[in-house]
Amino acid sequence: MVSRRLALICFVGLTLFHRVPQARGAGIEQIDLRVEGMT
Amino acid sequence: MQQHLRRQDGVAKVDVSLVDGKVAIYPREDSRFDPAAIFKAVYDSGVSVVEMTVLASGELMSDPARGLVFKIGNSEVFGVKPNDVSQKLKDQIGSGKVLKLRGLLYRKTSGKAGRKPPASMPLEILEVLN
Repeated sequence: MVSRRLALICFVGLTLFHRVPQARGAGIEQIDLRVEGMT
Repeated sequence: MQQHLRRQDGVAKVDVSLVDGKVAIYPREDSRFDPAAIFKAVYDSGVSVVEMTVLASGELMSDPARGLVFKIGNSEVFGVKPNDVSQKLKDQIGSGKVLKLRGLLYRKTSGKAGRKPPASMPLEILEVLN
């Protein structure tokens, strides 16, 4: 009974918090725009 | 415009240079970048985008449906517009190596820039920085 409950908790926890690991260092640092019409 | 852009989701900081007509947007970590939303937000603040470039780190991958793609995060994938630089990076496709690059997402071609962003904004790799 305890092990079934533990298995259920583990399943729910993993389902909710599982994330595919992102590549180390991946991400957007900066977005540069050139615009017109700015006063 | 600075205030307007800063209110956008995922934006940490905005620097505006009135003299050059340049805007630098620094996204927050763990935030998702939507070029179309930035494009629209700039237009809504009364100016229009002439050019949009991005400095980003990610992996080059081959996608069966989209061809060559640049995967930045778990859900941020940009199609790559083939050019001389992307040709030279063929060995890096699927290698798992994180590349830091500067890429062009949009450049106004002719006429007046519209409110709507282009239907697709593929990434044209300008230079690799590592």
